[in-house]
Amino acid sequence: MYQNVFFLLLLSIVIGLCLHVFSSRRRHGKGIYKMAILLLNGSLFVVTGLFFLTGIDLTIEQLVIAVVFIESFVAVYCLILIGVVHDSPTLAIVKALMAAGPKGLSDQELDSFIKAHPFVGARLEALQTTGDVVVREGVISLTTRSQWIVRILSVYTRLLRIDRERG
Amino acid sequence: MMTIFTTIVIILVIAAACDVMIARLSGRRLLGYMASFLITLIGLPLALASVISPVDIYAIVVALGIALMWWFIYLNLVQAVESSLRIRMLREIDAEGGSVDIDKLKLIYNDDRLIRIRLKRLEDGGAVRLKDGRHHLNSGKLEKAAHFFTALKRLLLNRRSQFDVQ
Repeated sequence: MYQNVFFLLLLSIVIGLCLHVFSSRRRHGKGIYKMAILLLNGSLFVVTGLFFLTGIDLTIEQLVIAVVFIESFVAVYCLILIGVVHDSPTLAIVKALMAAGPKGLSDQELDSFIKAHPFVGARLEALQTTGDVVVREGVISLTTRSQWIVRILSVYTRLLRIDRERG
Repeated sequence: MMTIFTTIVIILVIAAACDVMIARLSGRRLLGYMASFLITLIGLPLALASVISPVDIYAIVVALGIALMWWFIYLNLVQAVESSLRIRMLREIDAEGGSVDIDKLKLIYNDDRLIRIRLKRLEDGGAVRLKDGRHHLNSGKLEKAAHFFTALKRLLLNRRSQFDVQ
C-alpha cells in the first residue's frame, strides 16, 4: 500500500538534494536554508505530478504522510546544514590538530589559530541578525523573543537538573 | 494514517520521558540519548506491526523514517540547550538581568578562553594529548567527524571553513 509513497519520497529526496548541492555551489551558500525548503518541497510537488500523469495511484492519506515526511526531512537537513555552515569550535580545533600532523600544535600556533577563528564575534553577529539580541551604546540586551526562549530553556534544564555552564 | 501518527507520538513521548528520567537519576546524558534512540528504533516497528493489519513493510519503513527524524530534531534541541555557544551567551545575559556591558560579556566569552576550555575538555577526555609542549590529536572518531563535515562543507559551499576568505 505504501510502496508508492516510499518511491515517491526516495525520488523526491534524491532529486531535491542534487538540486540543492548544485544551487548552493553556484550561489556560494547564499540563501542555503531557503533553497533547501524550496527545492525539496518543489521536487516532491513535481514528482507527485509525474506519478499522477503516469497513472501511479496515491491516496490523500498517503500524500499527507509524504508531506509530513518531506517537512521532517527539511527540518533535519537544515539542522545538519547549521553544522556545515557554522564551524563548531571543537571540530575546528580537531581540524587544526589534523593539519598540524604528527608534529602536533605548539602554543604559538594555537594563538595564530585562535586569531584566525573569531567564533564569539560570529555568534554575536548571528544573534543580532536573528533579532535575539540588540547592542546599544556598548550594552547587549535580550529581546522579548529571546527572553521567552531563555525562560523555556530554564524550565527544561531544571527538569534535567543541569547546572548552567559558562564559556 | 491516524494509527501511524498516534503510534509515532506515543513511542517518542516514551523515549523522551526515558531520556529525562535517566538524566535526572544518573546525570549520564549519553545513556539517555542512546536509550531514547533504541526505544524509537526498536519500539516503533514492533508497535506498528502489532496495530497495522495486514503488515505493510513500506508503511513501517516510512513511519520509522519520520520517527527517527523527529527523534533527531529532539536530540538537536536538547543538545543546543546544553552546549550551544549562542544559547550559553543568551543565558549569561539573562543571568545578568537581561542586559550586560559587552566588554563584561567578552571577559567570559572570548575566542581565547573558548578555544582553551574546549582544548582542555578534549585533553581531559583523552581525545588530545599534550607531549613536549605540543598538542596531538588522539581520536579517530573526532577525525572522522571532522572529515565528514569538511566534505559536506566542500560539497555545498566549496570551502573548508566558515572563516575562509573567498
